[in-house]
Amino acid sequence: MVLVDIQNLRVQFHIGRDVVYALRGISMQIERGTRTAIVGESGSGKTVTATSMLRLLPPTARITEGRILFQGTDLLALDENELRRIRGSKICMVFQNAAAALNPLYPVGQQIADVYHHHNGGSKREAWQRAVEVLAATGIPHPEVRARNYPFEYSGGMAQRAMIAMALVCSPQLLIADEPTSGLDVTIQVQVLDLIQDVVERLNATLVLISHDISLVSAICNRVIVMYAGTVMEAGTAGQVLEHPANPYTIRLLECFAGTDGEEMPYIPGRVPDLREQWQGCCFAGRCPRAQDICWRESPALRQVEPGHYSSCHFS
Amino acid sequence: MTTAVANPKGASFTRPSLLRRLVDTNGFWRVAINFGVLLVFIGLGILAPVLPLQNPVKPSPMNTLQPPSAENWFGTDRDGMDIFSRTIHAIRTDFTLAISSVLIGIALGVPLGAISGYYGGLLDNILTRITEVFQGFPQILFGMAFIAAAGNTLTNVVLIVAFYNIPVYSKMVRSVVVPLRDVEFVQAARVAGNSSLRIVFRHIIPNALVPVFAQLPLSCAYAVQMIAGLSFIGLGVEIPKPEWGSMIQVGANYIVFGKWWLSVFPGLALFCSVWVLNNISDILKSLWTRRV
Repeated sequence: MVLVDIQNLRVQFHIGRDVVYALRGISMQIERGTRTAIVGESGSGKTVTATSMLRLLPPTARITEGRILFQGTDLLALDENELRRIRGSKICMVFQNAAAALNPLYPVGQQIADVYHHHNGGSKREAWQRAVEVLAATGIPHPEVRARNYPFEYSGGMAQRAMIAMALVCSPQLLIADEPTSGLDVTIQVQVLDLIQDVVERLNATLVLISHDISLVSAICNRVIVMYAGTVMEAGTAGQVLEHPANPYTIRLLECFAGTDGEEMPYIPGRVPDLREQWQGCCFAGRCPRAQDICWRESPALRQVEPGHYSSCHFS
Repeated sequence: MTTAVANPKGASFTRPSLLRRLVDTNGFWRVAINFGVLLVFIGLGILAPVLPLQNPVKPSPMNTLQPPSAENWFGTDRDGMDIFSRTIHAIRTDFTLAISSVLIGIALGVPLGAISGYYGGLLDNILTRITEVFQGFPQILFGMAFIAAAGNTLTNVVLIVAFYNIPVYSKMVRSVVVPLRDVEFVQAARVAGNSSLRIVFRHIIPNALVPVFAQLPLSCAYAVQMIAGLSFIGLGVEIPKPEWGSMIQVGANYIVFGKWWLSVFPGLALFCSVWVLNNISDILKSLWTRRV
């Protein structure tokens, strides 16, 4: 069953006189219970996709077209009150910089208790107890002491755990994690990813993980969506996309990650197109070794190459 | 995470006290002298009714315009009232009026600035333009017009000064709130399903209060000046109520005859209080410009 259905979403940013076309008509389906990774370079539109789902786009952004269906309701058509009921209780988000995502003026436990109290009511004491429980569940030592600490007393990894605890206390159906491991030590990265996977399984929730690091993604996700320059290049199960990718961009991207074998580090020649421009053909044509005339004339549609595996390329 | 195990109490780092941090950044004497003088002023103001002072409003027609003496430390004024006692009692008048007007200004200005900064757009534009028009209007002129229309009462004086404090605080809070609006914990609060008003009052305003507290003494200094200025031209506080501005005004008529003590002592008190409040505001600003 499809939990989130994004249909032909277009988002623009108006910055001064420039218009940045951040999302150029993307479509994706996220099945209930899956762990989906959205991967791509900086500026590929992965974070914009996630923030659109929560309608957290900055005021300079305009959603010009498309729908985001969450359990059948269009999130883009909801008013502020209806949206608030969904945020935090059905969709939750873990931020990139967890230390900045906690208000420096309140103890961590209180912030978690607030979220619980806000959605479930009950007594303050009960909410506090629940906050301590989830902190313990996310592996924070001495949770009853730590709950009374302020965010500046937490390390980066602990702050990320606290953010995950906050997501846990909401028990959402959809958890969006926006680069949850960037800025953490490699050893902590694995722990945090394991914790996210654990929490998602416990809640029976759906995970959308945004990352640029394919190796981390392959560890916990079972579906992968590859984005480039505001378009979806390839989507499929982790095995399909990572083992035998169909799209030239994914192939080149994986080559870059595959290692160097002591030779020159592989890279994709050319550069990412200017997102302020609109073009006719494929967004990857300028860097693609297989590019033909048609790639410059027509933009390829997302086509199914095998069951559940989609690629937007004229030749795949 | 191992540190937490080694130290189950959690925090191993204790934040230095407020006073400690003020002394560290400003030096001991600067802090001691300024806060000391302010405390003396406040103490004298509070204790004035119980101190063995002469009655500040009792005229003695046989004893007018006397120079400072053992009997009348600061001399006597036109009506023979004791200037020392009046100068002390005036602390009560001036400080109460100043503080209440500043508090009214904060109570209205802070939410106004926070809301206009957070919501932005047209509302922000309108509110900012209104405050700018207001700030551009000459204060004494506005005070005179307001008192002419609404009557010469202390409440009106407080309101006038409060009006001039609203834009000060709304602009300051707005400038702090605009960058806070897109900070991640505000986004996180939004994700958690909080309403905008709750975000403003619970997450944004508390984070914008430090500059407000640093500005408070400065506003008080300014309000003391303005109240004294208004009563100097005869608005608000009326003789015989002890008040520095009106005392200076009375003395101004006699200064050319060499009767300097009528104006100089209340003037010195006014100067000292304004100067000390200004310094304290500067001292407090070090809390937020140089974060420890």
